[in-house]
Amino acid sequence: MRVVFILVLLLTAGVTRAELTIEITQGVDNPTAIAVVPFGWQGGALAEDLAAIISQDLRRSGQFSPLANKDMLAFPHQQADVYYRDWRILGTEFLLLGNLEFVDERYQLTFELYDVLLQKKVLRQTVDGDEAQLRDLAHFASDKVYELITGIRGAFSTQMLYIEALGGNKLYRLMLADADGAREKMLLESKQPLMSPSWSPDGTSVAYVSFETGRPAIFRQEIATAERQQLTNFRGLNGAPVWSPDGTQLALVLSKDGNPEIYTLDLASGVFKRVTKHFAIDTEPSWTIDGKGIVFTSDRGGKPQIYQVTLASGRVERLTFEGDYNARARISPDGKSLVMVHRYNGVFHIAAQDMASGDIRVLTETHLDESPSIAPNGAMLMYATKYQGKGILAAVSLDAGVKFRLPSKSGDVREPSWSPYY
Amino acid sequence: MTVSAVSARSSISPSASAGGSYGWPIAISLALHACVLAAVAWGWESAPVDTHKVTPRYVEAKLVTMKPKSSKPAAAKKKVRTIDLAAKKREQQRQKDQRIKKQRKQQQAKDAAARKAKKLAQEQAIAAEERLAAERLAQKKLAEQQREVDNKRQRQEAFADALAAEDELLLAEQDEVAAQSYVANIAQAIGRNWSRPPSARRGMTCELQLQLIPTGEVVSVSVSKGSGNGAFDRSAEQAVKKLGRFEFLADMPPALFERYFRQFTLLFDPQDLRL
Repeated sequence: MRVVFILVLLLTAGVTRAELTIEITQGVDNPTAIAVVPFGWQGGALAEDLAAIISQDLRRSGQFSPLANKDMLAFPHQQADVYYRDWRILGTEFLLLGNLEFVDERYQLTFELYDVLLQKKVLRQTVDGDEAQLRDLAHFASDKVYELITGIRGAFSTQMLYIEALGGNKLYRLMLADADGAREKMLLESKQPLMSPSWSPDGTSVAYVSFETGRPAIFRQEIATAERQQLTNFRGLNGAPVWSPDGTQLALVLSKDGNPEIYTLDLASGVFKRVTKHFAIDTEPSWTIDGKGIVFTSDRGGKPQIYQVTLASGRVERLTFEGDYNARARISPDGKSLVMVHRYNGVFHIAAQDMASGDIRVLTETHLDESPSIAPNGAMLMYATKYQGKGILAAVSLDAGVKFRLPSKSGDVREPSWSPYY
Repeated sequence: MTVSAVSARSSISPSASAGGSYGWPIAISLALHACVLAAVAWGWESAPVDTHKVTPRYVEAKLVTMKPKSSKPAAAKKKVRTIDLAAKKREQQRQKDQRIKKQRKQQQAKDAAARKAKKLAQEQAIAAEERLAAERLAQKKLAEQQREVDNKRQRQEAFADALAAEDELLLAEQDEVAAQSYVANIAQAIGRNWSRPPSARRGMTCELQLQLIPTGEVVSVSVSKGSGNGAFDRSAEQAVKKLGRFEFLADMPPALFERYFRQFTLLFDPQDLRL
């Protein structure tokens, strides 16, 4: 590794003890070494191993390298039993201790994070929940640890939606699961195709496309009550619904005028408004962070590329120029990156384009990668890909530093949608 | 002060060139130039250049061989900076003694010359008592000789002073070069241990105050100026703690350690981040 240092030696005038300032301009960014010690628990066997869940959460983020239990020299449960020197020898930078107790019919997790190098406690928090929420307790702790050490809000407590096709497309399911793929729950089952699930910003509802009426129609469904409402019933294509950041509108695609165009639907009034007017195909809308514009895929230039339309003025601007195929864009929560499907050397990959510079980074190297969905903290994104001939979900960090496949499901899995914070 | 004079000049001169009559502007311009020159001359004399900002290239720093400070230059340096080392005091005393001896020798030479001149004058007086004019001439000649001797002595002293000043400058430079090579090593060692959090961005800076003991061990670290990002500041602190000790500082000349490395500041200013 090439390391170049710029050094500045500054001597302040007229003092006997010279003030020297040394400038450090480069570093090495390794995953943080953390040890999640198995938590203290006095009761019987538990359904979940909380410390293991936290270790897995942190490892999957790519920012941590948790120490294996078998390499630990001790399993302390309280500060008095912590010998910093031992942990330091193991190369550990942070140490997470926890105690689970059963108080008032609820599980109460108290966790403490220690900075091994600075030899001090940096976090202590208590959280409680019922038996079904044991995983939530672990994800909560993961979020807090992640945020403290990385300076970025954790997204381990979030969920995702995806479509599962069973028996060779004979049965379709709309599924809800934790962001790590666990605790999956079926929201809807249909013999006709289900497509394009999308979260409402408050996390209570989902919009999707169902073919149950014989042609594509957009539905809205409340997650908790399973209450459904059909929003569109036009001739032709009714697709790709995406909620606006303020939750009052949907952006969607309708082909009732002859070819696919982007529309917005005001959910309170039910009024549709046409956004694009072009003889080419305009599809796959996605809102800008401020909700004032929509990015979409269009082949108006001959090949599919990403464009952005400003809603107030109707002005359209092309965003992508690299490559002959860029589609299904999503904007990162900080508004700085555009994540999309990018054809590179004839293969479909997920790529991120820097909004300011236009630089493209190809994030994945598998084939047929599609439907990228960014985590609400902007650190990871989930996408659909093929593995051993089957549709699966995979995740990659936005700096491409870490990739992993989510647990395999029984059917073909596609179109993941990462939930917002709610 | 110098700076303000220069800026005043630059703000006025355009108006002078724009005006129709050149008499006044030229006069003002000349007066201001004179002021600037005077200010510069005054500024240079009164403010010694004590702040050195050196940005060596990494390779340059690596190539330097470290010379232990010899006792002679240490004495010369002593004149400006007070470093409480007995050896230096002794050295200074020795030099002082030498200088007194030298002065005494010069005085003797002067005395001898004076005696010789006087004797010559007396002889001349005896040889030509009536020729007063000739005597006056001899007196004048004597005075000239005296002046010559004086001048020579002054020149010698000035030369010795200049030599000492040059020695001192050379030594300060040597010291700095030696310090630089250590600085490079310190920056490298810290950089190897600095793992930034993903929220770190270019433009974030954090200053740490370090205190060391001569073994190179860091005995105290504190954040003197934070970046506003707790995770970033902690990563800097951890980099120092992870290293714990600058082993290569242990064989450093003690004076150099005291002067630069007993206490110093680390400025973390990442330039290699993508964002």
